[in-house]
Amino acid sequence: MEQPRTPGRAFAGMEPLAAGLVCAAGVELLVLRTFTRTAVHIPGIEALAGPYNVVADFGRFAYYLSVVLLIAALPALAWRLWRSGDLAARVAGVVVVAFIAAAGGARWGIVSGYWIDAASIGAVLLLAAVGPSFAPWRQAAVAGAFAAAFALSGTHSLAQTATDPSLRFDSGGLLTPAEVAALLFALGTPLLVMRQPVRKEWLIAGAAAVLAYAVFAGNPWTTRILLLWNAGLSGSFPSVVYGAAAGAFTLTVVALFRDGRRLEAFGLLLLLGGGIGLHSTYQTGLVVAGAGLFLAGASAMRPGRAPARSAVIVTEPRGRAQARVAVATPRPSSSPR
Amino acid sequence: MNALRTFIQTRRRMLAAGAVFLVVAGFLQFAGANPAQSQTITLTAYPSDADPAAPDSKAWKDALPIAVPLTAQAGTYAAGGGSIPTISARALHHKDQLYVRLEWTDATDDESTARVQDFSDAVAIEFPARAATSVPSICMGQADAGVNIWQWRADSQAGIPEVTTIHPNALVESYPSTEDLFFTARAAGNPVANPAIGAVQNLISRTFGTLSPAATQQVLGKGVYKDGKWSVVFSRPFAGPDVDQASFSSGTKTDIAFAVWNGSEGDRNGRKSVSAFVTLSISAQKLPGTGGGNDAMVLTIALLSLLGITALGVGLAVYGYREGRTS
Amino acid sequence: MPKVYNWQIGREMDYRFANGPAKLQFAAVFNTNRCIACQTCTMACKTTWTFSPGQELMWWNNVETKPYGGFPQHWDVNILTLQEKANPGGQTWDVSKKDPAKAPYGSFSGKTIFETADQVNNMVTGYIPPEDDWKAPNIFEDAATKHSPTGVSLPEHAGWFFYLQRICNHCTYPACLAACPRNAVYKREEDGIVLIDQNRCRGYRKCVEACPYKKSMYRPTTRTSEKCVGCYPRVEGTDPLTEGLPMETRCMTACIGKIRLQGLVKVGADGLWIEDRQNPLYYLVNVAKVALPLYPQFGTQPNVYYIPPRWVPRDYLRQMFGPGVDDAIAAYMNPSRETLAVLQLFRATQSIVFSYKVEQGPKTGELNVGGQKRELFNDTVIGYDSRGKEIVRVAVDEPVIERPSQVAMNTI
Repeated sequence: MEQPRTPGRAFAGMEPLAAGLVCAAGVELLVLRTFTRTAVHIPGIEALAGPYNVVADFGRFAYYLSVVLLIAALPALAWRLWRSGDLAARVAGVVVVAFIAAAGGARWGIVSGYWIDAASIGAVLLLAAVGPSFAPWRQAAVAGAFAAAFALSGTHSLAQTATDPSLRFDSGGLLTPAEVAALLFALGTPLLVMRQPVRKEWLIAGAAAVLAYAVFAGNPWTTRILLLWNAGLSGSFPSVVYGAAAGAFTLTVVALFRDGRRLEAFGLLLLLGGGIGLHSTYQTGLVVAGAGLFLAGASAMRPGRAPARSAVIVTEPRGRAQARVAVATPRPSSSPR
Repeated sequence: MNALRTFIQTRRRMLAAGAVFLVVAGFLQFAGANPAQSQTITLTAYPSDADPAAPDSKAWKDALPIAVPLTAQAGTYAAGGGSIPTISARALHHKDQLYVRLEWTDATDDESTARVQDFSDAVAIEFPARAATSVPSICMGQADAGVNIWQWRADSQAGIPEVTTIHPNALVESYPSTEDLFFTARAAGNPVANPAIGAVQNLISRTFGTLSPAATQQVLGKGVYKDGKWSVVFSRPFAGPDVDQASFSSGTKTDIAFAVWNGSEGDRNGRKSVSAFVTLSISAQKLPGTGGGNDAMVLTIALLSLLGITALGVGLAVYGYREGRTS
Repeated sequence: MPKVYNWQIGREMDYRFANGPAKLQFAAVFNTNRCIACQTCTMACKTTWTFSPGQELMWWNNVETKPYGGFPQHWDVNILTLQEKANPGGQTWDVSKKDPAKAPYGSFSGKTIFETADQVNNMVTGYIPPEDDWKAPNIFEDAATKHSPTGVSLPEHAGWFFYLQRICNHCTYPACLAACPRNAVYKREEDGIVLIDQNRCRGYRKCVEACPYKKSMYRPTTRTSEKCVGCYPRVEGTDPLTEGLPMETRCMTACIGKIRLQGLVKVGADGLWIEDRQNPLYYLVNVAKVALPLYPQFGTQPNVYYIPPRWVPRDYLRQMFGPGVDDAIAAYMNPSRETLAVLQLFRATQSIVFSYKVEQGPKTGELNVGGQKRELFNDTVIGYDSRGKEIVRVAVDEPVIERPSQVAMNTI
């Protein structure tokens, strides 16, 4: 029997860079976007100005590192998408390059804020649109839900900033569908886990769900404002929904890592780091990279290119000295070079 | 042996690449050069030929408003507010002065704070201080990144009340002295008590409870209450006199947030309706002529191409799926 | 939320700030039994501090007729009602948990005004009395609960009223200070006087709302709140009259009924008074236990102590001064030789008495109080200032001096 190959081998080389980006963006999200914004609520923080400044500077460094890694990762991703040969993947590669150009143009004042906003929405939508042609339907659906949330929320911003009065409309109504789509995205991610999750995964996911619920129920205002700043969500639904979404998302990411589907997991985490709606070209960049990596990783899972599905018996030594039997999906090779 | 060598070589290459990334990131941080661009909702201040100081000035007619949602302040003590759901903001600049016009619906006109139970309608703008290296906490700033707040108060605009105007039948035979010294807060230099400062106070803050008057008080403001709506215009010269205050220049961007107090709801201090930060862009170019429709046309083309590519993608997907089943 | 110790309620409680480094605390004892409501204290304060435009309704010192009077009207009933609503039926004392130093009146099982607040919308349960409530400072003056045509007699009068003299209590745990969102209210470590920084106040009236005694007052002409300043220049000793020695406030020294004694007591980092037996205030409050805090259950640890009126129904007094009322009235009705001597210090001098000594004198008489035989001694109390120098000497027997008729030339 052919040895199962790592998924998306054409993109396997992206893994170290993607891992670095996820780590840097994660630290940035936790320290800069979350800790320093809530530190003012910590009693007695004024007395700890020294340690606080060190932590804040560390967070800022993580931000710059994340930006640098993103600048490196996006062209690398585009190059590999192009090289994969698949037409849809090539379109995706072009989209990524177009986004880099637009973001650069915006930074140097060549592209106006309105056009980079429109380009961002377009890029995310396009990536999701080409998804079905080179990734399986589950991945395409998950990416589509995210892109819909991103586009709905982004369109609200566009409607507020258009200089042409004819493009202005009362767009506040788009935010609730955006929230619904974002929640569907998170709640839908377990579709990607094409097996029965094991107990450890359930436990981790359950802990994440309970934690998210507790944070929501315990300090709803701070949590919601952070969610709005960090991820563009209003947090207007009952806390239990966000708890469930956090649990579902965690379950998927943990399971994907355990199955060696690291690129997809990295992609999902980057989508989380970027959030929905328009915040900055950095956060949109995280979304573009996330969507690209997610779909690239998923391309390997496409039934059309994979060996026929068969049950593989995986035996792993378990704690109770008992061989545990699990059914895993074969890990197919990526698209041809 | 070969495998080990390859491993070491790959490792070395990764370490080298990592080191480069770290150095570049450190350099960017040191230089403060942020390669990313903010994409939050932008309030653009276009140059104006007419003087926009009055809320009903015709200069405001063509300035496009952004609608900023407001929520109750519920994060920290003295929470409350939320009776004003949204505020409409416009901005212009004229002769190197920034003008911001805010408009909101408020059924009650609360201009007097003569009685202990009366609170004033008010509105404020918050900017990051010039010294802030990162976007400060919207909640009154933070220790390492202060905010500059301009607060307009209806009661300050109305002036100091006299006991005889509050209570026409009141009789006070005489006051031993009416010198400023005996208006204690005024004598202590408190801008709240100083009628000379006018309707707008220029304040700085570095976290809760630290709100203090800025070193200079040169922010002007004028509010008009008409048909159940307040319209207030703030103005200040571009140059911020010190690092604790905001500074503006044509062609740059900064952050701006709003807060509204509804006096009849008992709003004051943290009890207010607040927004998040949005981007304020000071445009060097004139407002593009209205009715050009360029944006609309290009957007339509973009939308159509998006639809086309989506259809192509779905088509390819279906094709690929069939192929997969037959193989 | 930090925990602080409030000895008046005999337990720890939540307060927004931990105990600061206080050294001395402004404190006073008011003897309600002697007050004639002449309002000399009120006018002394008014003419010193609140005579300017915008202060017309401001009376930092007031004397109100209880039970109906109040400035602002019904302030105490209003707070008690709010507290009762927040903790129905729970505002009770556990008098079994008495401890001479840490819980002299037992332990309050109910909730303080800090504990009934949510800490997000409000730090303190309170309300803003509307302007009308401040317009009649002496409303219901001398109004008794009923007419007693056959007269009244102790221990409880059938128809009754009494005068309650009120200034800012310069509380150990001030509600005004806890309520100020911008830290404009502060408590001085050198004398515990609570002040509103007139430079920082922005007229939010959170202190007016929070102070249960309603001694923070709003001034529309400056759009800030002002409060009793404890005549701090006098307490500091910067008034030229006493040559640098701490002096009692205007309202105290003006008292012609000799009902007031004010001073400074030593306090520890835990909020408890440091033992200082020869300080007349420490003696009256902590040793003789003849003077009690006003509404200790509010939880602010107020520092004006009242000798309760001995003719008033006890349940009313227990609500107002806590469960120490019966002992305090007993201690006042039948005072020890030392208590009687210390009571002579009231209004004997303008300078703050930091310590006293009693010199025993001869027995001068006997009397019968409520069926109890009492002996009287002409003891002498000597008061000392902050430097330990004698400033006053008073005997229990007031000397009777007969004027010889032949030197009455210059009189009418």
